[in-house]
Amino acid sequence: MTHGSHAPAHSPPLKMGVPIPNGKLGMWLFLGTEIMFFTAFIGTYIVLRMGSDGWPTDPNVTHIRVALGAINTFVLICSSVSVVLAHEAMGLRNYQRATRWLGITTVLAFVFLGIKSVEYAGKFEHDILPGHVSESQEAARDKLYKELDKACGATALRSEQAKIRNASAGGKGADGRLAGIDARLTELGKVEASYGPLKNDLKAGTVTLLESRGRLAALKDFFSGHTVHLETHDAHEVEVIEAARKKETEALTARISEEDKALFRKNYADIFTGVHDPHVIVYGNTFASIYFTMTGFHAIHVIVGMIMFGMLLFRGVTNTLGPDQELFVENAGLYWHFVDLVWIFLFPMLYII
Amino acid sequence: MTHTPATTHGDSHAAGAHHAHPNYIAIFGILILLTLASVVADSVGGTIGKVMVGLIVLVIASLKAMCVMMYFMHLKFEGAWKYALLAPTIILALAVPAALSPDIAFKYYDLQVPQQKAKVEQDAEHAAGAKHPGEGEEVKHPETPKPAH
Repeated sequence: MTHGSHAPAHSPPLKMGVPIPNGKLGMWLFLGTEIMFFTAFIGTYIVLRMGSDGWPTDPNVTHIRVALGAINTFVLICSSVSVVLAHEAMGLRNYQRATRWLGITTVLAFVFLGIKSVEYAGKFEHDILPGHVSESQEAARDKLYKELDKACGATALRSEQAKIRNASAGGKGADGRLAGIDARLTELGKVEASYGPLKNDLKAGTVTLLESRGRLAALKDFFSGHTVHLETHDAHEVEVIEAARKKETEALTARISEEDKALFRKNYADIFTGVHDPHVIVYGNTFASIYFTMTGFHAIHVIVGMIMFGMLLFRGVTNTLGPDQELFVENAGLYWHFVDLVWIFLFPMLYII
Repeated sequence: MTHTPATTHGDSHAAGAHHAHPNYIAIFGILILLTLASVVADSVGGTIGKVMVGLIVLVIASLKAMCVMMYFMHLKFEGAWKYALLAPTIILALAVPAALSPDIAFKYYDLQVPQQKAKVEQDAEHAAGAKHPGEGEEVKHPETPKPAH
């Protein structure tokens, strides 16, 4: 590194190592570590997948949409082309054109993340999250019981009531607060009673999963006032579910007064939002873990790329883009192509196979 | 470290990054066609079998990766340093799946995991559903459901 100071002033600068700029060498070495990083995930995925007989692949179960994955592949390929054209424009010192292509790349990165978030939202909606998926009928019924228990908030309110009673017996503001809770619990008690029989049956284990799905659907119908759509793809399942749904609707109509029904529809129409249609996905938790790990780390890389393009775009917009940024654009481009490369492998592995 | 910015740029030109640039739009077209091909392979999956689809889409992915690396990342036009830099990386990257391969290839223990029971349960349900439509679900689950708590 000190050759320069020893060499005579007129001799050409000494070259060391590979004939590329240090920055580019650094980027390539970094990409080398990135290849190893993502290959480790891929290896892990193969082991988990091959070792799990019955891995979920049905799109109706996993809510993986090949079309969305393919569109995102298309978006990333487009952005790879636009960043390569930006680099070309930098080489031709046409900074306006470079800015335009960098802008298009950034927009495409936003589109990619937008589609990704639509997919993630679907996973959250169906509660396909690590640790949330029921892998047996028993676990599914157990989960439904717990979600019903939390549905109207009466359980939480009761424990608050007990806490106030214990903490400040005879305290000043306690009486007023307790009276408020009592009034609220009277109304919530009615709401809770409407799904009490289902909760009891789940606790006693006297209801099957399909029946509980039908009964939950009936409750949702009753509270919301319209027929809630249920995702079922098996004719026999539909039959059992619909029979249970009809029976529960009849029971609710007989048991609950018109006055209460009107109250439920007015104030508690969306009370079952957090109660998911119970279903079993064998190996669903492992599936969700590896899906979110792989696509999540990829999305983080997309965000890092967007920060780099944002910095360049700022220079482009403020007319401070110059020959000094050519290497930056090249390196950002190399990184971005790598992000595209990872997606090229993630798409078939997670969406198709 | 001793390079001035000017020589740095001179080097990058000497490496041929700008002189021999490929037709990016043609590469783009190839990549789009390959993506469409994998979607088509997925949609005809029922007729050619899952393993075949898996092989096809992975080969397509490798072809796409080659296109991106060769032309977009300019590896085709770079000097021999690319081999020195990428060979160790690729060997080490493959080391992980290779080290894990005994777990993939050899089933040296019986899988006694709850998921296997659940899968048997599910398969029985489908079989029973297909054979006796309309019968109560209890028939398919001889064991009484256990209490949730």
